[in-house]
Amino acid sequence: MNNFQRLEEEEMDSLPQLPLGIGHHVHNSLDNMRTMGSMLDLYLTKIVSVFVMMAGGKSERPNNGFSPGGSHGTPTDPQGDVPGGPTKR
Amino acid sequence: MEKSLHKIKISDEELIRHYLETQNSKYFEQLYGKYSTKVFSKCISLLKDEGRAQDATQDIFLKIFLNLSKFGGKSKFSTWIYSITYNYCIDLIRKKKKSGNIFSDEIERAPDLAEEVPDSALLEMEVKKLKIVLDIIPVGDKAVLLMKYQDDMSIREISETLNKSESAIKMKLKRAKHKAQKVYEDKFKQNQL
Repeated sequence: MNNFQRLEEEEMDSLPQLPLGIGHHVHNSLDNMRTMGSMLDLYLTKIVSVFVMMAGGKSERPNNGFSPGGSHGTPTDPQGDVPGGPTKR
Repeated sequence: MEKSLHKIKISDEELIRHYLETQNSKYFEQLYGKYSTKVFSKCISLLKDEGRAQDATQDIFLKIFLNLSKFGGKSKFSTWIYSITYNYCIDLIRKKKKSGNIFSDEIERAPDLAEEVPDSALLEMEVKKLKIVLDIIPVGDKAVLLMKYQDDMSIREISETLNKSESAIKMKLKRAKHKAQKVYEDKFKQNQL
């Protein structure tokens, strides 16, 4: 362990407590985003079909393209500035 | 036999895979519990404000978990987390500063340095003096030194973090080391005379 790492250890020892609420807030935010993503998945195609029909068009799928599977993946960060690998920009 | 995540050692990569597959909160808690203190420590070190550091820690972890599927596993998970942390804090500091200059080579028009400061010059500093030096030098210089010597990041990893070429990072490191040594000599060597 070099002096930079020993400095980090000392700073962590004297660190104020990170409020528990921060972790809970992150977890709840992720849950909320996941729920909204699932709802969009479920209803967006239906909403689009309604607008198409209102505009005089025909809905291409008889069941309004309802796909109940939904996304189980993690919703993505809209900013998209997170490193994903060694490829340079 | 009671199965507990605490007794079974699971690698970060496995925790990530389980979390992405199941979205189970226990995997989130494991990852958050393991890295939150270090992330918070780095935020306080760079931002120098507990309140801002708390907000930053929250935003950083949100970013981490929203982009967990992008972690390719080509570097250590800790390196990836710390990259996001440094980037976030540096962006925050740049927005706050009117000039946006946070590295020595942005602040000063210094001539090209002929001599490279050896790593030993920094690594032999006492911890207390090192802390004082790091708090005085520009925050961008501090960040590259921490990435290199505290987090053992390679030049390639630092260049990806800061979105600069490897030669630019080598120059920033060279100037940061020079700046740190100069501050050290001005502050501590003069007191000895």
